[in-house]
Amino acid sequence: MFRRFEVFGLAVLAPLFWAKEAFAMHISEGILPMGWAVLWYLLSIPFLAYGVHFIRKRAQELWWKPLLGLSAALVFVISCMPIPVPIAGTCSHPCGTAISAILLGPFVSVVVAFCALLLQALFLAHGGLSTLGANTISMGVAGSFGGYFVFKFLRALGARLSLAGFFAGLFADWATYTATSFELSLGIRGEAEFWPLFSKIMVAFIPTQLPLGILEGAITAGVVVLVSQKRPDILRSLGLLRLGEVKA
Amino acid sequence: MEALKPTFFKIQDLDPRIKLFLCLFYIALLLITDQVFLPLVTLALGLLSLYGIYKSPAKLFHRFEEPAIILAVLILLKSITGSGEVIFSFDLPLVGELSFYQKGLRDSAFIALRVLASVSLVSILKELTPFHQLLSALAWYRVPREIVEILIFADRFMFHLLEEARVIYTAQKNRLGYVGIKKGLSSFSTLAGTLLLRVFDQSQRVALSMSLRGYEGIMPLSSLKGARPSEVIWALMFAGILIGVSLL
Repeated sequence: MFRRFEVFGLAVLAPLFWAKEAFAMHISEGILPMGWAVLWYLLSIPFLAYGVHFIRKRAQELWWKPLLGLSAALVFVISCMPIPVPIAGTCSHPCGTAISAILLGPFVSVVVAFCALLLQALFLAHGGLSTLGANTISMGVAGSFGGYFVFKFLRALGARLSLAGFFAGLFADWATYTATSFELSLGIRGEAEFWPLFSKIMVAFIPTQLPLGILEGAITAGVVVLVSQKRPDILRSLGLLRLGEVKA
Repeated sequence: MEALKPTFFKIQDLDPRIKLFLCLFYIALLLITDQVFLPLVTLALGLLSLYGIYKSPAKLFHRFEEPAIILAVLILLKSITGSGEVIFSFDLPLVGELSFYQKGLRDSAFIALRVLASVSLVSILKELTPFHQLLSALAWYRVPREIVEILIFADRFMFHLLEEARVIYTAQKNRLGYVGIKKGLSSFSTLAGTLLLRVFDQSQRVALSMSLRGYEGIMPLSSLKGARPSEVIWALMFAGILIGVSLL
């Protein structure tokens, strides 16, 4: 009996020991059954459609599409950069959706996240084509809207740029993580009960996602502050900087 | 009739629209089928093909690294939340008795097989289809032009940004960046912020240089020739065979 446990345990945990990096939670290709994969695609369509509509409205500004393309490339690049996660003892990478939502708006950020996720699925096998809808909902919709509204709310309360940026990044990451756990447990539960599985998935990913959220928050704050110091005109043109907050 | 004559072609020469359709159809079948045969054969053939393409076990392993980590957690969770016969159980301090169920293990092993087979399919699609052809195929399938154009820009600039990120990262490391968590976060924020500023500047420059070459907000896409009838017939036959195999 013990030997059987040993073999099973080693077989299951081996990838965790080999892994030098713990990746952000994208649902891998083929995990979700057909029905759920289609449902998440359908749910993501209204957000993508409104995002595309918003992009179309600004199509006359010639720099707009290159900016979005480069932003998608930036989200892709940021997700390739490993940062150490203290508790888990591994490296992970931030999602980058909070910063894109703050700068581009949540709907456009959903489109940018969709493009970045498609690139990740094809080039890195992070996520997948069948799970693109589910990942768009978790990273694009939950991450972008979560981060954006927290940022706007805190700024409306008069919070400093760094504080609002920190909580936007933190909340975007944790919203992504919660939504992914939700989708994953709905997709794989079979005959098992939903809530126990959901809580177990949440617990299983806490060692990476909890510190990663804090790291993402710190990085988002750092980025927003850096942009406000180096190029305040960008933030001012987006209405993110109050008059007199940073000297020009 | 000449056009209907069977011609032999390599997979990479197939029309990208047909390749994309077959890949998605194949993945859909993998998601629908409850038989082990199709995912098992797909995984075996997929691994062989990918080894032939990569010619390196390390590259092959790296491709499956991320799904393997997610799968390890998934197998563990499904095994302890399943039902039916208990394979083994043991006491864990703080957690209590942990039981591993046969059905949960069997279900999760099947999902793992499906995931690895699907990942191998997407990897083959990506390796055997130039990205610009995939984008043309997406446009042909009426994916909104804005998304395709963002993907064109992202594809054009992501490796450029990645290279810039590497240069900045190396410069930071040489100046004792990334030493400790605090310094690491500060360095990473500076890196991400600098890249973001470059994205804004680059998008302006790209738009300017493109407008000088006649860009008016719409990117031309490479046109696809009509698919050969033999390719369509081959694809339909292949899809029929897949349906047959999935029923085995």
